[in-house]
Amino acid sequence: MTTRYRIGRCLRGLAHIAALVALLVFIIFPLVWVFMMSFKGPNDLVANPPRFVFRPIIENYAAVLQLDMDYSKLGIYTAASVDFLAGYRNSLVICIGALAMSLLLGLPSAYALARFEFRFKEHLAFGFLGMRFVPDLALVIPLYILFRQLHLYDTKLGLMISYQSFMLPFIIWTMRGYFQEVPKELEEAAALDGCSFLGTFRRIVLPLTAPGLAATAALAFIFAWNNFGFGLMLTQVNAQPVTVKMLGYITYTATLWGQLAAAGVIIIAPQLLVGVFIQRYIVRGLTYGMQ
Amino acid sequence: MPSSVSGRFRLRLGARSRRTVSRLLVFGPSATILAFLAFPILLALWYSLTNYKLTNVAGPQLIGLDNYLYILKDPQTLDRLVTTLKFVLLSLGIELPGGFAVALLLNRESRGIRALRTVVLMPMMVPFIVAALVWRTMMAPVEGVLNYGLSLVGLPPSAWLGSPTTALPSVVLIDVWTQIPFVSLVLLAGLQGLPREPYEAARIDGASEWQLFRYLTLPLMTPFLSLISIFRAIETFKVFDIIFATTKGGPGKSTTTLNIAAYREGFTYGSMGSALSYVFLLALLIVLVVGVLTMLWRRSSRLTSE
Repeated sequence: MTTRYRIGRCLRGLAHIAALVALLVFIIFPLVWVFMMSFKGPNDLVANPPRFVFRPIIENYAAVLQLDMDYSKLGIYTAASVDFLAGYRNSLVICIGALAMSLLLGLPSAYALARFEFRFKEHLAFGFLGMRFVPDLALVIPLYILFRQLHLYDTKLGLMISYQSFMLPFIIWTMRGYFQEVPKELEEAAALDGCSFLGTFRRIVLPLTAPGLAATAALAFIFAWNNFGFGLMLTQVNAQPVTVKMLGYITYTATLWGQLAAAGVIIIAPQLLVGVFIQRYIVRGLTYGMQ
Repeated sequence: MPSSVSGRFRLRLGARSRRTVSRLLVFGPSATILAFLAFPILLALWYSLTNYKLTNVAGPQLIGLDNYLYILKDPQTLDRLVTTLKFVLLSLGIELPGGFAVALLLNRESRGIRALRTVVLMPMMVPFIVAALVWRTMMAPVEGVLNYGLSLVGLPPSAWLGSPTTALPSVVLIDVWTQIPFVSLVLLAGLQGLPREPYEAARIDGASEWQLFRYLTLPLMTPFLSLISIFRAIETFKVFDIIFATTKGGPGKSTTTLNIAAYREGFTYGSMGSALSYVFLLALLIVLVVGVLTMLWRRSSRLTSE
């Protein structure tokens, strides 16, 4: 009896470990693979069977970062026409601008929805959330038509405005939850002590919600950074974000897999690091504070 | 000036300015929602009733429900609807049980498990477009690493994205990779918040692990499972980036969802009016499905609370 029990436990432990290993491989292999690809030369990239051991080169990264060097190792597989750095700069400007915009508009709204009683409050709150039901195209198409008339098509400002459609609902719902957690008594006490409205917000509410706010802002930034559809349909050349720009490595004649992989690694590396730090807040953020 | 008077004075002023500020703050969200949400969507609804074409110099003309009638009559619409539903059902059918299994696996405290949780988070940080392109290279029919993996275990190679029968499941696989983190981390948060007492009581009564799962964990987790299925249903109906980056709707029509069809109609053929009719058909579908899911959720939570 005891040996059978022990064997059963042992088998269960093994199955558990096997499942964890399978999960780990499934999750991490694509990331490892793209990392390896980014260091492969043209022959190693198309080798059959695929090579796990190869002589790494840095030319893919150099080409993506548009450095001046000898690209003979890449052979014919270079695309000088892709201005990746411009895309990177665009993405930075657009995402920082869009984040500032959404915090400026979203934080007061979130606070009002958390603290004040007014008519249609819950309708309004769900109105923001209802945004998620609407397919992006229902916004992109009217914006495309409007932006062309308003000269906002293919501009960074236009993209910042369009990103509000997913950043605002996110900021408002998540921050509303954090604001609701601040004890009302603390704010009332501060007001009784003669603290002005803004003073209360700055001295009491903001410090108490700072970690949540930082994580929410980081997540909103990542959503904006990862966005592809809006940039695809609302820009042409000038304001293309990095996610759209990287498609330039897929040309009519060939796909420059090495440079595409290097571009991918450059795009995802910063957020993988940030993600580790805000891990604790991510679940809450992604369910719009519904937990 | 006696301090009590000044104190009262300041307090009153505070209350007054507070009211003004609160009014402004309440006005803010209404204005924002109008500017960013209601206006473009109303405009889109209007355009869906016109023959708006990018090439049409005369401008849009009102044609009533013609766009909707046209897509309802078009036999392709049914195919696209079916493809959309197939994608949603297949994705949710794998992501929800799979994510739950992963959450159960990770619901243990040890240094290794904690490190693994961080790893599981990673795909969530990767833009869909990058994830899709990475998987596309791995799914290459000849030199792709997935077919190499299949050959190592003695299985025949798959056409992956290249054939009408395997394209949809392949796209689903990519979607699963990007979504397992979200689903499993939300469910893990749920598992970690479960009360301990019922488990201890049931163990004393000699319940097996399976019974614990079936009669405690599953019912207790129903609210979380419902929440996540609603969230995921909304997003899978709207899937775009992954299909755009891999198959663009092909081969043939095998991965042409309503959303992809709408994109093609609008941005390839320039017919914004009929593109929008596809979009609103999709929106209607989402509202219906989410409505049904919410109803089921309410009913099940009423049952468990009784």
